[in-house]
Amino acid sequence: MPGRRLGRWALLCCLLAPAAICRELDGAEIRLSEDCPPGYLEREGRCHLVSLYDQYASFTGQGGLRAALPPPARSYTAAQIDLGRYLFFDPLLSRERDMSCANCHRPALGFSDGQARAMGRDPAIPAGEPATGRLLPRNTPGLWNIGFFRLLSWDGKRTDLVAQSLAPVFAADEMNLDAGELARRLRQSAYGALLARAFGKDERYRTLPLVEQAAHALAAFQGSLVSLNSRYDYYVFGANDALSEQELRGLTLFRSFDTRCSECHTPPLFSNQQLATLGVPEPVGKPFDSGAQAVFGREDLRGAFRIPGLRNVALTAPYMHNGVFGQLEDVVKFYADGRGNSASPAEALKIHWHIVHPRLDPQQQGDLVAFLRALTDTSHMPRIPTSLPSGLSISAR
Amino acid sequence: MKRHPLLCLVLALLSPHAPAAVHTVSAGQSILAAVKQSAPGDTVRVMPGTYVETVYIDRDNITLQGVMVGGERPVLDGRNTLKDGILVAGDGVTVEHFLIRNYTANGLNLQGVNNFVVRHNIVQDTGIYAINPELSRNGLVAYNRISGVWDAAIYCGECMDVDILYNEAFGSVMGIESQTSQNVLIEGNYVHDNATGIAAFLIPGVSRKTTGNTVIRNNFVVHNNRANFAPPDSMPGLVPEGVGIAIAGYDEVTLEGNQINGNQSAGILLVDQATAFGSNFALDPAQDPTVNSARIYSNMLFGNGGEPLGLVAAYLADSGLPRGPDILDADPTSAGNCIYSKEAWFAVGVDHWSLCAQPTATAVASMRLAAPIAPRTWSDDQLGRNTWVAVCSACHNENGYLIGPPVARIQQDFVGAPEALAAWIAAPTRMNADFPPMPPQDYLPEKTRLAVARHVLGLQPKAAANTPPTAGSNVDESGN
Ligand code: HEC
Ligand code: HEC
Ligand code: HEC
Repeated sequence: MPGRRLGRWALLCCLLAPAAICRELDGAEIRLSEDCPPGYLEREGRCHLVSLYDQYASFTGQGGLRAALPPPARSYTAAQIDLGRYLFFDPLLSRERDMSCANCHRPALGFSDGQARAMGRDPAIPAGEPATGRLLPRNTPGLWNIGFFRLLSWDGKRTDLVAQSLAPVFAADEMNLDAGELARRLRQSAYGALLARAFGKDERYRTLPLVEQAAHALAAFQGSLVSLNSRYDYYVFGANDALSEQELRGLTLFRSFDTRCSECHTPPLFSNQQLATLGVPEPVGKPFDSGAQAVFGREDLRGAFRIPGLRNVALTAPYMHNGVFGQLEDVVKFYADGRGNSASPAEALKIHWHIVHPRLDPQQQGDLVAFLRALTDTSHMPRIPTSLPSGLSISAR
Repeated sequence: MKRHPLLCLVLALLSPHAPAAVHTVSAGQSILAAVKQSAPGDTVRVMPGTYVETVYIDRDNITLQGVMVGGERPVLDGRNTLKDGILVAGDGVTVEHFLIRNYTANGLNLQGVNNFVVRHNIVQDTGIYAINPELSRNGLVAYNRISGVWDAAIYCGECMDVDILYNEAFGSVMGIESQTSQNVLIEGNYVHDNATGIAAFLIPGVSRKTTGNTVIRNNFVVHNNRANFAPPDSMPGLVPEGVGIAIAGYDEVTLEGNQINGNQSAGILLVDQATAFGSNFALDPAQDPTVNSARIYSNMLFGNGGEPLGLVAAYLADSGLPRGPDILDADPTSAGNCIYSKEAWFAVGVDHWSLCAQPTATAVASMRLAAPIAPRTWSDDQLGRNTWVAVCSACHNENGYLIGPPVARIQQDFVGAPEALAAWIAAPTRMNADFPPMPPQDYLPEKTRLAVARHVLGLQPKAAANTPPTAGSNVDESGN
């Protein structure tokens, strides 16, 4: 199929070549990749994730240094993953065509946005008028390794990445489309054909409505954001000097019962995917966030949040559900200040039993931060498209 | 391919799997340094002396062995400033014959470890736990003497297939605790002078949701009347005082042949999770908080309940009973429990229990697995292919230019020379002016580098190849 190949190369050229060539190619039909992204092995037409953690035997899928990860919930084809990449960067998915997922989940910032809290849109502004920002209640979480998570959002309100993927599209104060409008936009743009090509022959998803196929494509793409090749991982895989003395001291503190970090942020994902109340302070003027209480209707989960993974955490400042801590140093100091140090007495929170009174001097706090910084790996960074099936231009990177 | 026998011999001699070595550490030297010198299969022997350090064992199949000479054994001493004595994250690790004392967090912690053995150690005053295997499987904790911690002396957290045998556990908030575990045998231990002797607790907020098949047999559980000295805002701060054996929320516990004497609140206490922990801690929506399928066969229960405290005292105050019972089920919703006799002992709250049918748990010899959990082994082919996919494919692919040159070019440059390729990727020198430098892959063990080298050289490059990118333009897409 020389024709198809040529198309693919044209696209790749477009990705790699200077802007002049890209402009020339802008009108060209977009071809979805036939190759699985880095980290995947193709088997029977689908991309299957491979990591060096697969070589370990472990009965819980977590804990210690060498545990096999539980497999991702679903597997997708190369084309489905690639289509999700376009959708993720395409502002077509927002009412004013000015906001894509990547506006908030920015690749260079660990797929978060560098803001304490995300900037959404004021839904009260009539269509067509210039959008006004509205500060959303929570911080934008990073998305590396999100495909392994079965508890999503800060408050744990979702369990499936597919369902999570369109929530911001439909949220009035975020991208603000409804399902009908999204379907119309997909059908009337090049996405109609691309979705048909990616899903039309796939028994699993063929019969789904366009909108749901798009949700799967987004989930497929986000699942490919895998970060398991940090210097910490090198140490796990047997490179005994991959971590510095200070980082090793940090690791020793991280897994000590004095701090209990690894009891909740359990490797290899650095999350055991449970809910926990920490008693994190709210920024001045922001009302208390009841977190998982509202989701599960349980008083004793008041102020509980999903334990976040810490991969690439050095890139995703500020921290916590409300972005109240600007730097990793502040987070570590929060733990070091001891159980309940910032919790409002009016709340009577049931703080998790693993939140204790560690004894961490300033050097040890620095050691922990150094260790957290060794969890950085973006080698599987996806290619950012330079042109989009909608014809719109990329609004953020 | 047929190999020449002499070649095989030479290869065997050169192979990294040298026969197990013994490293000896003497007073004044560092145990950790010796562990870092050791390879899987090695033994680190530690001579008498005082070692002030935290030792972490992150390699597999290491034996850390104290050597007793003239009645002296090696001492790991944290001087009340160091946090942990020994941290284990390697499979197949054995730790034996040490005195571990004066740490503030744990004497010995094992996380995510298969096939562990901890035996013949004395552990004193090590903070929270003395011996703490968690998220670990197929292990033995035996013949240790442990005391003086503010949580459980032996703590099996979210474990599976573990035997805890013939230890003496005393002077702690709990002697032995099986926490949210499965397949645990606690036998022949002498558990005395703790706040609670032996505990089987379903703990909320952890990733394991179920418990089961736990046998507590032939232990001496006596005089567990110590005041609870855990911080009042901690989880163990809620552990009742004066209780021989406490079961909270945990299912399928079998009690048999224990001597349970002189515990002043109650001999055996069963409570639901909410009563045990709910006052201060969130319960877990995914866990069943009641005790189910407990089986109490013949046990020697005597002199318990003389002076009840805390939780048991409160229960008695409500029910008007004269003294603490031998057995108290404080959870009317518990289900499926059975007892040897409702009349042999002062048993309260057991009206809804049935009488146990035979057989008992006596036939259970061990909860450990018949054979060690085998490591998952990858063939050289799998190792090479999977490393290529998991690591190298971020920058190289079979048919075009990513961040690094395409496979075809690699194959041209290293034709028939996998060893040279394996060496080059560990310390890359500049090869292609039209590409940035490659980060060294020296963190990959030599075996892995050779396997991946063979894999690359065997790949079938796909037909077409795009043109090389102009300098610099190939990285600007990465978002970094
Ligand atoms: C206006 C900013 C914004 C936009 C646009 C946005 N997100 Fe988010 N995203 C957030 C915030 C804020 C949260 C956390 C919400 C919460 O937990 O209450 C979040 C959460 C998530 C999560 C859950 C992460 C986790 O750790 O559990 C996923 C997945 C996600 N977003 C994917 C997407 C996708 C896909 C899109 C585009 C369709 C998108 N987001 C668009 C701000 C945004
Ligand atoms: C009881 C479980 C628990 C323990 C123990 C724990 N954490 Fe956390 N961690 C959480 C939860 C839950 C959050 C999110 C809290 C929120 O947003 O309000 C969090 C957030 C974080 C964050 C911010 C992540 C982000 O993306 O914003 C960092 C960094 C972190 N923890 C590091 C640590 C370190 C270091 C330790 C040990 C000193 C530790 N944690 C101990 C549960 C825990
Ligand atoms: C972060 C990106 C990156 C990763 C990961 C990476 N490489 Fe490279 N590789 C490069 C770059 C860039 C070059 C070109 C360097 C030069 O020519 O000086 C290169 C060059 C090479 C070469 C020499 C090319 C030639 O011309 O013969 C070989 C062989 C090679 N890589 C093998 C590997 C193997 C095997 C792995 C995985 C273990 C790997 N690389 C991982 C980026 C990478």
